[in-house]
Amino acid sequence: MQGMSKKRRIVRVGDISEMIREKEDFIMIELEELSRQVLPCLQCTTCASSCPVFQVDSEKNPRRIIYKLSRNDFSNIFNELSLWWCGGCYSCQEHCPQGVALTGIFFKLKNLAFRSGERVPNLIIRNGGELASGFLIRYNDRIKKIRRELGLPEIMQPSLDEIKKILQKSGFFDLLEISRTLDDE
Amino acid sequence: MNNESKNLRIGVFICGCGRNIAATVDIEKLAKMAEKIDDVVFVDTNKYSCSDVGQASIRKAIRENKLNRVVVASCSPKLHLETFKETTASAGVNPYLFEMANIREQCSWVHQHEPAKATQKAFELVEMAVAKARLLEPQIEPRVKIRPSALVIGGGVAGIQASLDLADSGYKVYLVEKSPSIGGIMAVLDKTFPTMDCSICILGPKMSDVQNHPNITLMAYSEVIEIKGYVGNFTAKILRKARYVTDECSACDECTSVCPIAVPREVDGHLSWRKAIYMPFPQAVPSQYLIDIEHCHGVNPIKCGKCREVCREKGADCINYDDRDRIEEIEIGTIIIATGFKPFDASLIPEYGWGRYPNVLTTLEFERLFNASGPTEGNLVRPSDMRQPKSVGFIQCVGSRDVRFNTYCSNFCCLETIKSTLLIKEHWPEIDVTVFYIDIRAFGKGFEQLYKRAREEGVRFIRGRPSEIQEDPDSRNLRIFVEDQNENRFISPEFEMVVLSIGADPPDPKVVPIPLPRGPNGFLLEAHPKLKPVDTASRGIFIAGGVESPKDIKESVTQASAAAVRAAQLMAQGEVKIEPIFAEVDGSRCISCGTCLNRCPYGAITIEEKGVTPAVVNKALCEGCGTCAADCPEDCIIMRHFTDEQILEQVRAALRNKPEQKVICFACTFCSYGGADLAGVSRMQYPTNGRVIRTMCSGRVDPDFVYEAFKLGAGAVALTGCHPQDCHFISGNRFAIKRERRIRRWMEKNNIDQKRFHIEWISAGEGKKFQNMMIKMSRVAQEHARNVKKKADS
Repeated sequence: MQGMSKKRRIVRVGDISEMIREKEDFIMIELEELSRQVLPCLQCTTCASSCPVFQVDSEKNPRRIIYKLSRNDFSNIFNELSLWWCGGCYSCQEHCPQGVALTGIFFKLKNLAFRSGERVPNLIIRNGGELASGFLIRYNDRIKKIRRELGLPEIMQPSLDEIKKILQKSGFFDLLEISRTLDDE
Repeated sequence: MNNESKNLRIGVFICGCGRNIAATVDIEKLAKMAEKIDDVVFVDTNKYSCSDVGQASIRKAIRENKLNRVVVASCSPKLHLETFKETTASAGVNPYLFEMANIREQCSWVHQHEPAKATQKAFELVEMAVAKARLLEPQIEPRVKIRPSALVIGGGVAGIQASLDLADSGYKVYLVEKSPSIGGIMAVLDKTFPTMDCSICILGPKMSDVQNHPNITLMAYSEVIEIKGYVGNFTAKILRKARYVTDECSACDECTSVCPIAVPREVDGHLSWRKAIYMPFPQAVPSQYLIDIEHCHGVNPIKCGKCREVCREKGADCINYDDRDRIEEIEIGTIIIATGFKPFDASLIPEYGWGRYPNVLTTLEFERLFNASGPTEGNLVRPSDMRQPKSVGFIQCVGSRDVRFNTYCSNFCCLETIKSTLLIKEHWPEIDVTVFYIDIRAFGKGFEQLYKRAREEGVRFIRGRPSEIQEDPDSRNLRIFVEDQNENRFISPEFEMVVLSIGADPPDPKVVPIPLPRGPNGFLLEAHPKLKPVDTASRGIFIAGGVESPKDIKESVTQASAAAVRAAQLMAQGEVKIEPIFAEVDGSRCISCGTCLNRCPYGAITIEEKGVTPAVVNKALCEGCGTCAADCPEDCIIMRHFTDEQILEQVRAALRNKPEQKVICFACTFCSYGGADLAGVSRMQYPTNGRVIRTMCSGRVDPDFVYEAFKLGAGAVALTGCHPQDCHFISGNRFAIKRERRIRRWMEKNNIDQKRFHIEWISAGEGKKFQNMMIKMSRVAQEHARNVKKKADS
């Protein structure tokens, strides 16, 4: 991520298509690696059977992501609903009889979606503003009230400078900028 | 060396093995290269050397060219060594003047993408074989007598069948069974698939045949605790556990009614009770009661003694409180191991709740519920409220095809379930039966028809593997959480009873007191997966039934009969030739230090007076592992056919060309060499710089061999052997690993990177492990080669 952002500072707007191609190659390689990891899968449905999200909504099926990956079918893979509804409970991974690390794969996919730019805007629009205030979700009076009722302590305002530094170092702002450039195009 | 005086005439025969070798190795080029090797006077290529035509041409060439050493470069010696030895012998040359170069399993098959390098490696393998062939000596094969008696371990259906077959052929059979009755798992089943025969009705007569057969000595409630000897001449120690009830017992059942102690009955899956004095099940053989000493008040007439009182009242006196465990020793010629598999422990999968939810059963418990002699006398009721369930769910692949437990398919569980569903539907068609499966494997004769019948009877098959079972605490009903894959949606149906279709666990490693190679899953390994499916690596020892892999009744019986024939074949010959690979002590050089005495696990070496008389080897007892020779401080023990000089010559030949890139790998013939062959058979590719040298045991590898390899500049040296507890020669690899420190210290002194020496335990079933080790070691060697080059350049 860092390498990419540094490069971006050197190249100018004319070279952006080349940059995108490079990124697409990288995403392709990563996706192919993931599809290799799921090859032991025999589609036994244990992951879906154990998924608390799938149990509520049959549209959100984690098995389908694994199936698509195993067939090298990457079309719309970042738009699979169960990917974004996955709560990371690791239930599927724990139950999998073939040792496929499903939750890990989902996290990787989410990161890749982020990189590919396909999913960044949503996430940043949802959370970008909050991050600047130092919280992932809005820390408003209602939440304060609930916490008081539950007997939980008040949350201290984190140091904004430090958070900015972290976001800077981890390349978050660069990514934000890239995604905005992509959006503009 | 006195090659001149021996007047060596070596013939090299190169086999193309159809395209198996020829597709990768350039056979013609290899032949031209081989012609230039010293002492080689004749080279020929063949499409199939092992065929009749191929063997005839080898014979002809030997006679016409007056060859006195023969090298065949073809497949593994584990496959065709005997074939070509016989070819050589029939051409009038001593069979021990024959040597094989393995250019298929360890060359063409594992270097399929590097033909030029593979051809070079094949040439060097031929060179190594020729180097050993130069030093070969003629040997005379001693003959040993085979006792016409067999030990069958395990009294399940496989053991019963093998015993009966052997006894009917006229051989004496000792059948040893661990539990109080023979019959095994088949005896507790209700019906058998695919014919729906009553299990005990077809097994019972066989069981009583065993008891009544004049040639069979039945030793139930006994364990084999020690086996010694070699083919034809084994001795076994049998621990005969005390039954406390004599043979006169007429099974009148008076004693059980007075016995005050109740214990869950093992045979019924703990679903019913038995007394401390009991018979395992009504059809048990021997049909004789026994006292379970763990639960009995202690066979003490002052404490209890009710059973003896009642027995005496009946006019008999069958209860003997003074009975004790005793050890019997028997002498046999052959051994058949049929100890079976272990049923999978369903409590290992807590999400299915077996053991916590009373209405979740395993297939074996379900069999007992259905069985007329079971706890409910054949009435299907659920344990929580003794009411007939309205719906039953079956879950397949419990513990099988799962990397957390057993990775393999357990073979019989699909049909076991289908049979059970049909039984339910036959008796009570109104019960709703649903099966959750990943795949239904109905591959055998009549299996698919049974599956069809089940579907037609209205059994629902849902493709999906449940993740969890939850119990309703009030109704004790069970909710199964599963995705219905065909409908692509989540369902959670409720059942009144759930049956887990458990698979097979591998047998306990200590079940037989002899080290035999095991596959990666823990089942005993056959000598050849296709052509010797019931032989083991040890001659005279055979396997049958579930100890080899999970299997159903028919397959077990087939295998048992096969094993019986293999054993009978040996015994019918009366005597067999054994390999003359044994140790000899050069008495003039022996310093009588006694090191070899504790190296020998067979007690084959004796010294009359320590420090004075030289050591003497009893050739009949020596198995030929060579551990003594490797540790002899004077190097005065000569291992026939695997002499120090022969092995060193192989090392030298392997390292003649670019030694810094080579990996020398010593492999024991039973495990690691088999692992290397398996890597070949499975086409697991690895770099071409490995050179495998076969020894009888890893214990044979003298540190001098390793030193010599490093002195000649070898890039890396690997020492491989059986897993520590599995050594075919009992303790050879334990001594091999003791030498590691000595070798590493020597390496340190001589400034050799420790990474360049490596010990790995590889069983004959671990081709993947061999491949990984070779890749790793070849990296080490290449790194070393780079360093050597750098040094030379600077």
